[in-house]
This record gives sequence, C-alpha cells and structure tokens, in this order.
Amino acid sequence: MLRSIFSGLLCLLPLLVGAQQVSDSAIGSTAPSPLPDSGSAAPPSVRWHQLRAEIDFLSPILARAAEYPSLPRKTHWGFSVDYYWRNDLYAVMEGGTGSAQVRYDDLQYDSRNLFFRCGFQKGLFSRTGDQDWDLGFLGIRYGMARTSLSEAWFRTDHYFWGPRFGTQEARTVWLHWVELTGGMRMRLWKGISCGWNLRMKLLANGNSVQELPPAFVAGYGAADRNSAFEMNFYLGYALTWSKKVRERNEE
Amino acid sequence: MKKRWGLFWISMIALACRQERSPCLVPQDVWMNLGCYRWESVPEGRAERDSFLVHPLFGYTDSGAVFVLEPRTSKFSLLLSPHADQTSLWLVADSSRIDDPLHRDTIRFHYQRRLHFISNACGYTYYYQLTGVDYSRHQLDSVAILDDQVTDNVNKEHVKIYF
Repeated sequence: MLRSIFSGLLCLLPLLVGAQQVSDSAIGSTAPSPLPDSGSAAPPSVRWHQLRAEIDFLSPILARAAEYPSLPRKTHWGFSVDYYWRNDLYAVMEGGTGSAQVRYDDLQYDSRNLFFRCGFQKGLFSRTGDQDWDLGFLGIRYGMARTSLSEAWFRTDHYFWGPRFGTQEARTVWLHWVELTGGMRMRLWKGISCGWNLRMKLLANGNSVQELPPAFVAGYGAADRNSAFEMNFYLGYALTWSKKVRERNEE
Repeated sequence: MKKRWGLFWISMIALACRQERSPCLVPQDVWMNLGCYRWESVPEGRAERDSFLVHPLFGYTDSGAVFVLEPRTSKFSLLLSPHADQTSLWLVADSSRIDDPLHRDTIRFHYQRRLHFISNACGYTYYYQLTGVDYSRHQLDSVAILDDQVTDNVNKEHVKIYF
C-alpha cells in the first residue's frame, strides 16, 4: 500500500521536472547581459547566496514500511544543509540519527547511531539567471557514524555438536566512509524545494567492525559490506540573499 | 517518455523497499582436515607417503556415533566441539579389527575457541587454534600439527597422522 502511494507521488516528479525545464529554457532565451567594457571601472556586481535546509522525508517512512518479522526494525532520520558558494559550487553538511532492532533467529541486538557527513557538490549546468536555483549535481562526501551496540545474543549451529548460545558485550564502534553522490534539486514554490540524492559509499574501516558489523547504520547502510548504495528524497526550504561586491577590474 | 519516468521511479522505490535478510551462502561449519601418512625407506633415507587406510572408522569418544570412511582413504575431516576446549576421537584403520583394543587409537585435540562473525546473513561460528595433541601409540607412530589455525579455509591440512 505504502509503496503504491510513494510511487504515485514520485511519478509526479518527472512532470514537475519537465515543467521546470520549460521555464528554464524560457529564461535561457532572454537576451544576455552586456559585458562590461574592458579598461573602464567595473560597476558593482550582485553576488547571490543561498542557504538551504532539507529533511530526508522518505527514509523514515521507508524504514517503517520495510518491517517484516525477520528483518531489523529501523528508524532513520536525516537532514541536509547546503550553502551556495560560487561558480555552481555548494558546501554541504548532512547529519541524522537512526536505530535498528535485529531479531533474527540466531542473532539479536539493538543499535543506535548518529551520523555526520560533509563535502561539496558541483552543479552540472550553469545557472541561467540569478533566481535559477534548480540544480543537477555531482558531489563527494566524507561520512562518519558513531554506533552503540547493545549486548548481542547469538546462537551458532553445528552439524554434529548441536547449537551453542552466547552473548557479545555491548560496545561502541565508529564507521568512516567516503561517498560519491549525484542528484537534483528543484524549486517548487517560493523557497520550497525538493529533490533526490543517489549515493555510492565506500567504507574505509570495515576491518574495525568485524566482530559484529551493525546490520543497519543510518547514513551508511549495512556495515558488513564495504560498499553501499542509498537513495534519499529531500524536501527543504532555501533562504536567498544578494550582496553587492565590487570586483577588481583585470586588464 | 512520461511512462518511462514512471517506471524508473517505481523501480527505484521497489529497490529501496527490498530489504530482505540475505540468504547465507557460505558454510557455517568449520572442519579440521587430517591426513594419514607413513614413512617409507628410500635410498636417500626415508620419505613421507600417503597411508591409505583399509576400512577406516572413527568416532568421538563422548558420543556413540561412528563415522565410516571410504575404503582406502588417506584424508578425512572432522568437526571440533564448540562446547569444550578439547575433542577426543578414536580411530580404527581396519574395521575388521574394531574389537581389538590394540588396533584402536585415541587422539585428543586441545584448542582455543575463537568466535568469528561470518555475516549478518549467517551469524556467528567458531574458529579454533590448536594448542596440543595427545594420542595412544597402538597403531600410530606420531601425530603432528601442521597448521594450528582451523578456519573456513577448506584447502589446508591441519594435522598429519603417521602410522
């Protein structure tokens, strides 16, 4: 049921993208601004800034929607803040929290984690105007997560000797990873925007969690794999402002 | 074009929702591999040769189970107990002599257990580090530990039994 609702909602996104592309092309058809005469004093130019805060609105729902009896019960909350610096370059900081309750027949434990990511992203297409904040981008992130694992109960099955039960003591592990990401953002109305990120992650310190890699780390995924893919859908609000700057005129 | 976009998004959502526990595709039991050998006199001195046991049997001393191996076997594998730090087995090279105590040898392996996490799909198992071996000398000449790490590496021979 939830899948059909989400897929129905998301099917509307390409329509919005198409509409936005039409408006972009309209912007692109306007006459280009005249270049300043070389050699004369440059007039003050306007530099635009944008600070955008977003929440990952689909991951919390998907984490709940994917609950089956034998699977980890999960929560996943995430946010993202990006700042437009210049030349289609954005500085990005992301964070969030999550938890998982693993209840397999042979392995049971709880985990909670906080995660933090930082990096930058570069717009793939030049902005067509001062108010053009639609964006397709590629970026890179460094991520880290602090995961607290409860005491783990386990059962080992042996062909001849029968099962053996035991526990592993509670502990805290740190994960570090780098990720490549790509995605898009588009303005819906005034400062409200939405978009998605597709992420490919490579775990840097998988060896440090070999005793019990968490089945789910919010922000990364399953820690028993050295690579992970994730898709996030964001809804956010952006503040934009301009500032007059007098650029040095280069001969 | 819009239909394709719709299919794309539906596929992405289906992919995001597919979170079943992966099936365990690797063996969870850890086997210790043993080889049977004999010394043979050669002009240069003596050489190690495979010792093919006629009709071998073995079993664990604290269990009534008996394992019948293929005739003329020189290699076999066994499971160490995860419940204790030692496992004892008896070995008879020729099943027709099973009632003769002088043809039945006992080997006791001492080891340390080490918990090993396979994956979230398979859970835990035990690896073993062999620390010593005791044996009777009715038919056996000696028992040597070749590789003390008993892990999921099935290609390593861990113990050599000399007749």
